[in-house]
Amino acid sequence: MLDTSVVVEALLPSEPGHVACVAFLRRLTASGCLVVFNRLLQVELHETLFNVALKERHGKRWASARYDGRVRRRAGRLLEAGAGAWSELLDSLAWSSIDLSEVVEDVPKLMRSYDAPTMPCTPPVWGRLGSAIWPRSTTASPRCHKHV
Amino acid sequence: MARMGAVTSKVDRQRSSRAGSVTAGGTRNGRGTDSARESLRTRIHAPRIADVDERIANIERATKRIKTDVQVDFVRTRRGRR
Repeated sequence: MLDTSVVVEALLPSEPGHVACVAFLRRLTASGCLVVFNRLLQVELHETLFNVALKERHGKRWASARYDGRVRRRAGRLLEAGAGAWSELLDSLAWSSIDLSEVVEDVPKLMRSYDAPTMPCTPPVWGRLGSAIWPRSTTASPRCHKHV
Repeated sequence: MARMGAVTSKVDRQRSSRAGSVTAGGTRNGRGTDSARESLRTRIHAPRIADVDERIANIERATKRIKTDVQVDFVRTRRGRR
């Protein structure tokens, strides 16, 4: 199971885990093992790239500048590059994706039984697929450590 | 509408009465089933590039496409810290 954090760190050269995540993807490619991801990964990747454009222009005030139209041109270029990079990654991997509609009905129940998991962690996906998808991969996240 | 609701309720009752209620993708206790694994296998996309070296070169190329100095610290942002 591939987490968004691994893809973000691999695609953005300024991220602290960039080298490790690129090496990890290289190993995945060489081993030919199956990568499973949640479709939310793509949405999160797009959101992150848009935030990059905001941070480039507004620095620490980026969160309050969300609707500044001046960032859209740069954001568009980043989104285009990101979509191309993601497509190239998929060309090199054996992959399968899980759509939100497949797991969404189980989310309320699982959110009660797990320790307030975040949606990107998608324990419902793990639960449904069970041992078919082990091992999964993610960068460190205190909120998610119980599920890793 | 009332009739449709009644039919749905009946289906729900039947589902819940089954021991170890099974979803389309796996059991409620969180363990995958053979059918879930089979379903996953049918949706596997093989790598478009056959040659392993070329695939690795493709990964290298993909991870160099975006040029920025900005750090987003994705994990921290996901936790809500900005």
